[in-house]
Amino acid sequence: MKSHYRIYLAFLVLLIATAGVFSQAEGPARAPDVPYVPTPPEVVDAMLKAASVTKNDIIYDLGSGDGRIVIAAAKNYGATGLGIDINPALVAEATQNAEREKVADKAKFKVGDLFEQDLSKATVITLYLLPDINLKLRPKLLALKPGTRIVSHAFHMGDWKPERTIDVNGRTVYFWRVPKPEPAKTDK
Amino acid sequence: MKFPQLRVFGLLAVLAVLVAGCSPSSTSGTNNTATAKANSDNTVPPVQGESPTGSAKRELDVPYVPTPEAVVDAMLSMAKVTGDDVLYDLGSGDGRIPIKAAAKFGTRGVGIDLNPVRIEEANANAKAAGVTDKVQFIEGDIFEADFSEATVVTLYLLPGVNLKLRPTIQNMKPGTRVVSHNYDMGDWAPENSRTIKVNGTDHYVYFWRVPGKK
Repeated sequence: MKSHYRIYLAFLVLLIATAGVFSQAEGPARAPDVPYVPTPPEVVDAMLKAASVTKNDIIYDLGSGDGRIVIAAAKNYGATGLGIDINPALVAEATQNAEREKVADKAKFKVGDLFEQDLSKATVITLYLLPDINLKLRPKLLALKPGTRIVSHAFHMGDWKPERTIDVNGRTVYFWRVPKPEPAKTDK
Repeated sequence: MKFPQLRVFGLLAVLAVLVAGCSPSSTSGTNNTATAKANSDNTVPPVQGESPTGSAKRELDVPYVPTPEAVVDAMLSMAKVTGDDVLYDLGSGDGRIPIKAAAKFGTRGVGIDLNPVRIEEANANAKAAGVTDKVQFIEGDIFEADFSEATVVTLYLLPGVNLKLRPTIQNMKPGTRVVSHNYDMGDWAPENSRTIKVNGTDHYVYFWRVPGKK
């Protein structure tokens, strides 16, 4: 009797686990490149302060998760922002969070692939991706308007040296400004 | 078995973990990559060779971002700082604001910072600038420090921290001048504000005067 009960429970575990695996209807269009790990609030503040974010800025958050960076930028700094995430469930959550915080007019979210997204309107770009994703994104960022500000939580950009590095309770925030393009070299 | 409920509970816990592990969690990858990302901060090289909070007595409210020199000049000029003023810089970092006021106008200044590493740095900078007789840096919490003797208060904090400080500042001697880099004071409208472009980025300076008691 007792052992029957256990078998039944084990089966139930298996059933629910399987259901979990196959219930990805809400999932992203392609496998995301980056796992979802939220940025702590004090790091969000450091990113926004490092980038001198004010009400005149337009923030693009690449991999926006629950939307906290764009929402904080709108709520506390008055900035406008767009969060891009490949996962529709997270985009829905972020949109709801923006509504709850009463900044839905300033903080928008869309499902998208950050490698394909047009970033040209951004004055500030925020990232918490992965080292190789930063590097893959680097040419696209370097092609933005000179002066565009970029802040990354935890990961740097290889040999593109940050202008500023900030330590926030043991976490690191990196800050760059897109430089003016180098004058074309003339070959003799 | 003595505690069948416990066994059932244990199995339920296993079940919960399994379900969590298989849920269409946000973004991809395996949970191993998620853990790698969460732990990744530990692999980042230490900054300026200091411990996370620079051995501050409590966690910092405000990340340390220095004010560009051009903005420091604008702050001092908007507050019309003179040699007769007593300037308090709340969150003084490397001490550049009190040091510049002392060097330029002979202003007596006090900088308060929670991070002892910053205090050391500020003292060294004051020495290098030859103004140790004019400025003083105190390791302390701006929410507990007494800065009531100030005639000028300078800030580069965070929007929320400014708001938290606002009642204390509004309670200061009427006429006390306050300048803040980038962040305002909510609905306490500044008397004056200025935009300074530094390397293509706009920086804002706000100026208030503590009003007379009603």
